[in-house]
Amino acid sequence: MSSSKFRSSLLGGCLLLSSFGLLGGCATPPGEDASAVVYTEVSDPIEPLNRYFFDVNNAIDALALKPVAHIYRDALPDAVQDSVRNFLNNLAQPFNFLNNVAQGDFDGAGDNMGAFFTNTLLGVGGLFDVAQIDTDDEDLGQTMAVWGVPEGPYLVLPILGPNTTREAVGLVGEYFTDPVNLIAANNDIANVALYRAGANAVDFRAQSINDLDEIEKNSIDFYAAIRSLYRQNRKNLILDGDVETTPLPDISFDFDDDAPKSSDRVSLLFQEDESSVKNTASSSN
Amino acid sequence: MKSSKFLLASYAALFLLAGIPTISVGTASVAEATSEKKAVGLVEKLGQEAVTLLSRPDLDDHAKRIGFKSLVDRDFDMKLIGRFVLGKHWRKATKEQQTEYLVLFNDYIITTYQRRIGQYAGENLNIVKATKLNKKETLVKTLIMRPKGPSIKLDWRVRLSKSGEQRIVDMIIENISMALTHRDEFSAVVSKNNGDVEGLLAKLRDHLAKVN
Repeated sequence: MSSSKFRSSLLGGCLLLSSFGLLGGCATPPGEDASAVVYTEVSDPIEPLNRYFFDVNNAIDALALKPVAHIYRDALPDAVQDSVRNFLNNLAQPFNFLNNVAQGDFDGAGDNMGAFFTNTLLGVGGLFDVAQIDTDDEDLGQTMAVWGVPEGPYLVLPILGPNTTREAVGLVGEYFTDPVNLIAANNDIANVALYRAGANAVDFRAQSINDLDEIEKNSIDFYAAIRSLYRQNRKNLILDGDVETTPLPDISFDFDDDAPKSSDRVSLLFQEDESSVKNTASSSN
Repeated sequence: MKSSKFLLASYAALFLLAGIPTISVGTASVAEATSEKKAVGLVEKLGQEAVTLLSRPDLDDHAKRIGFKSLVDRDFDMKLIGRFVLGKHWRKATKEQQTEYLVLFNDYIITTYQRRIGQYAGENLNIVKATKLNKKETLVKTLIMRPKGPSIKLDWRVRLSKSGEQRIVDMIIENISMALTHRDEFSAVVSKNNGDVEGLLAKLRDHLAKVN
């Protein structure tokens, strides 16, 4: 029974996926090379709508998620919270494994497998992190990025929050491909994906209460600050935090001797300004 | 989990200077070249002085703020950062607007980052290594070691300023650039005001009046 239900929802998911793909396709000009991620100007064509959902999400957060996260953080012992996090992370490992294989990161995939079996068998079903392997979080959006799918416009989804079009497509795909969700669905265990998402949300929110409060208090445009942090963090995740490929040389402070290369890179925003004052360095470059 | 790095980064972002209580230099790979050595020295010194400042019990918040500001003015190229953050709107602004903006920006940065000073004692800053980015710039890589939880990657972008001194121009936390984050935020405010820098200045004045 559940498998036929699953199939029909899979079809719906594919339709949704293809329509998202269309949307992303027409709005983003350049393809993105994951090995040399360049920071381009923010693409946010539906900003008013995004801002609206951002406000809606904040209201929902203040009413529902934040109070729960507060209680969770303050009432439960740290050890319990650690175990919840370990358990959720362990459940994510099979999916991380698949993504790492798809990205060609076999070292990462090996780590995922090792951590999953060690923690599941020796760590009481994943409640304790016995393996102590530092694995990166993977998802379909990152895999698509490695495959060369462009980021697409920024998108704030109701309840789900900040995304780019590519990550939103990834989220839909994830729902249907995560091994843990599939196994649960095949065994007629209802709503596992939903409970996991809820638990992850509370876990994340409990960790971030102070930080998000601070960012909100200190920012002159909370929406834009979150958008920037989100996009930079996605790039970091796609590169698996790889130090050597930090996208930073493209953010040039060389406004006196850099020539403009393309119209929307950060690096050119400064040139010309001081070229009249100072041009000794520019001739040599 | 997926978002935990993001959280870490944004978390650390706010407390950059605050989170540098003690400094210990990693033994292995301190750079040979002098500019790299100098850059490491700069970061190290800044960290140590921040510790000293924060741990002084005889200073009140106001005095600490003044001390913090003088550290920032000495070691950060605030003018360059300010202009980077304003981006393409810098050229559209009048001379008076530029001057006022730089003052407000300085204030904004001090206020934002100083807010939590003193709360993050017990964390170490380990210098990992320094790499030359180009003929003017060096990246000093450090790790904030926390008593609980994973360490945080913090890179300092140090640049030879026009006066020939090394100055910090950006801090990159878990590959998230603070200069870029502020730039995105500021340019969003300018855009919301139809590209008028005056709107940003008003917003900054407002914000500072509220939080100070």
